[in-house]
Amino acid sequence: MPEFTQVIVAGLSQGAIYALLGLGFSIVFLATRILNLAQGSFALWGGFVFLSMVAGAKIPLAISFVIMLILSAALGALTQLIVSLRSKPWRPISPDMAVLSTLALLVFFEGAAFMIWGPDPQRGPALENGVFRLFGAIVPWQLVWMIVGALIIATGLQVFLRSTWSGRAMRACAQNPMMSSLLGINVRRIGVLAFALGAMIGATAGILVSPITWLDYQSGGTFALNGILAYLIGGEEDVAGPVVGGFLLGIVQSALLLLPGTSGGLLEQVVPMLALIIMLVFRPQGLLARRI
Amino acid sequence: MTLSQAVAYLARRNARFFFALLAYAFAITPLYFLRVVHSDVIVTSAIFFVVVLGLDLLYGCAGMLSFGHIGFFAVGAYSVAVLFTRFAISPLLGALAGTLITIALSYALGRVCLRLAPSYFMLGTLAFGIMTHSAITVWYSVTGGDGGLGGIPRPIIGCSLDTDLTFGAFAAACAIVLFWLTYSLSRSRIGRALRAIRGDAVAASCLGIHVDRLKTNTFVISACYASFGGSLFAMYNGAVHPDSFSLGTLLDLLLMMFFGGEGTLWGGLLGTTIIRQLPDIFGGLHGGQVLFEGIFFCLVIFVLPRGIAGAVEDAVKRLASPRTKAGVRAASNIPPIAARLQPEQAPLLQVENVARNFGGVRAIDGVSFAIHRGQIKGLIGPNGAGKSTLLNLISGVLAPDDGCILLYATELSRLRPDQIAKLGIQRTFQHERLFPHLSIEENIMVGEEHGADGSLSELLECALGSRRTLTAERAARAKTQAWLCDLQLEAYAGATTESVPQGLRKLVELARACAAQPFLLLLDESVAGLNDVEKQAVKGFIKKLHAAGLAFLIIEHDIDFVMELCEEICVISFGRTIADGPPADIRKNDAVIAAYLG
Repeated sequence: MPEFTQVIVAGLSQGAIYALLGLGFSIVFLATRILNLAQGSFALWGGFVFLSMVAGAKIPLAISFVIMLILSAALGALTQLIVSLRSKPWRPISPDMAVLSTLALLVFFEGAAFMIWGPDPQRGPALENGVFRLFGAIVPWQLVWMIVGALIIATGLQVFLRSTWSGRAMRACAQNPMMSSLLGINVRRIGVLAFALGAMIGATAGILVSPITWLDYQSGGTFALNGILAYLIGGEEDVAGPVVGGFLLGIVQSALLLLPGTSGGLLEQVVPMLALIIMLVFRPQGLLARRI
Repeated sequence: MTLSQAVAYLARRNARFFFALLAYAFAITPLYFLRVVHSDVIVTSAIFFVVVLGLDLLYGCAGMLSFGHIGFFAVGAYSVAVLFTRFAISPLLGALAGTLITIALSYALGRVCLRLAPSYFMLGTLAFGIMTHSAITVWYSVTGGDGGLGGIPRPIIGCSLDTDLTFGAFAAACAIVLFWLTYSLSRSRIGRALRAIRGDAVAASCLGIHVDRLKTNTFVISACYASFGGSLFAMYNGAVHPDSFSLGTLLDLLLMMFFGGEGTLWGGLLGTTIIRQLPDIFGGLHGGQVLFEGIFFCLVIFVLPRGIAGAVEDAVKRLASPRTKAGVRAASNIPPIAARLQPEQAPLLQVENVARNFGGVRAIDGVSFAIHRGQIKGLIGPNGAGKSTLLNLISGVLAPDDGCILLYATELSRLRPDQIAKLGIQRTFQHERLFPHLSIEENIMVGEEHGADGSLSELLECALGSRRTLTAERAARAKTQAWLCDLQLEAYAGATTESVPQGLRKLVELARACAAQPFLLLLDESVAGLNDVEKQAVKGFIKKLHAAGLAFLIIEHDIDFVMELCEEICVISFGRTIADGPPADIRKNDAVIAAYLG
């Protein structure tokens, strides 16, 4: 029994990582239709900057967090400006060029992180150290924070998208940027806003998951992939998608550990990728979204 | 033909290929003897060039960016390594086995991923690449895990390839042969078909290109390049290690292609050599290299998206004086169509009770009409009546939910657009859909060549440049010239589609459809947005084709145009036929007047 609950806890923990990283994707994709691989570097930089501020400069957690949100919003806005340098509302960037340019930025950010923080993995500062016991399983407090964080962000996004003018404008831009711009929506500004929001969410995700995943300069790619996984499995049209998809994937992945003869390393790598291909084949619109 | 004539012919036809190779050889030789570039860089460049060729065939021609080639690269390398270390099978046989495994894997992956939108195609192939990497890292019993495998000998072909020089010559020979094949493939009708798909897959399939099969086969071939490159890599290094097949290498491959210049093939020569040279420039400074690659990648994507080779080609195109055509006007091109038709009294095309729903909306609700041999039929109706949908149903772009469409006795409703095109029905689109990656002349040639089957034998024939394909290509080019003359467009032959005004683009699209020699031509608002002179030109052209025996179905909002041209007019409204008959009757029909005037 403790073995079983421990596996569930491990699954929730992995799922929370997927979910947190996936939420940033969904807001950017929703507004701009760009599959933003640089999202991984927002999480990477968020985690590293937070680490430097808390452990290096000894700035209190809350203040570091606020500074980091501002910095990452600026980083996200900058990214959007660079990516859509050549696009116009009536001629959006082509999907493959978008993926390539965000990939280029991801590599650049990883390289810069390497120069600043070096090649060795580092553990991010936990919001709360220590563990507690639940049904015989050992649960770190950080996991609770991660789950709470994911739920708060998802709810906030949902409210933002459904009940504010900017949120509705964002959804309009996703469906028809040209018409939206003719109707008086500043499509560029909405794009910048989406990237800034996405970067803030990404950085928060980076802060929350880094005590568990650790950080090194190559984590950006892993973060990006994990986020895409959660996002694709959950579904496109809904911010709740990444949360559901992420937790589902995390729990399935951990549950497979209960099978005799499975090795952790292989599962950790192969199962998510297999899940991705299976999703793309059978339900490319995700679990929650309706087929259009 | 003497040898010098043969050389002159080859040089004329493939100037870019020979020029690129010669320039490369001239540039690299002094650098090598000055010890700026080491033999290792040259040999690995040749190996990576093979892989980049495959990537560029796939992306530069067909517009599909695969991140999975790193996986096929690993499959090729590990097949050689595993088969030698476990079963002492010679590396060349190992390479063959690797290719066979790759064919199976890439076929399966292609069938799955090629249906997806471009960004999801990238993700699906990326997932495959990552899975391969983790499989070779974790599967200790076979691949040696993260220790890798070693002790692979170089193959023996006549002589031993133990020195860098001999192996380099072997690798370079392989690369040149593959370069040649890829180059002639990309210039052939298959190359045009692939670029057509990249621009507009729907229009491509309506011109008779079997899009799915061609894409799948191209993907498989391109994967085989990667696998063969991997095998060469394993033979050259004598060892394999998972690190060589990580995402970092994938990034290098992408950089090589984009920095060199996607879509040019020869750009890969530059890309591979320069990227392979980078570690030498940076020495042990790994961090500098990581950051530099990031900056470099960003610069390439944001500043030089067509790469060096693309920039060079653009500059050459701008410098070269516009070719002035000799004033020879080819004879009119319109072939006698009636002679090829079955002399039956039955209608050419029969549409019976066809219906089609979109969600809950019944866009077409039981429409029936017939078109007879050599007849011009008009299809009119208020906006939203379902005219374009009907055209999509006939041309196979959409499948009807109910009813049947017969071309003589052939049922069309279950056929793909390319099959319908091959049967002799061509169409134009409401918003003109020329292929932006092809010139005006090449656009018409796609029609002239009846698209492409996409079968492996066709790909092979085009890559080898058999006499038959070359003759066919010359004939198609000549006929295209005649079409251009017919429409007085010969000045635009080499122009890009973007540079041609809207009215002329519609004419080109019309010529492209006619070039495929259909029995029946479906025109969707071909004079909408044209001025009077252009309208008269189209009208004259249609009349000429009609005189040759071609039948038409014309959708048009310009009632005078329809009334003058058509022998019969079918009027639909809200997905139903409300009138069908000669123009004079339609003019007087109460239902039609009610539908139009409300």
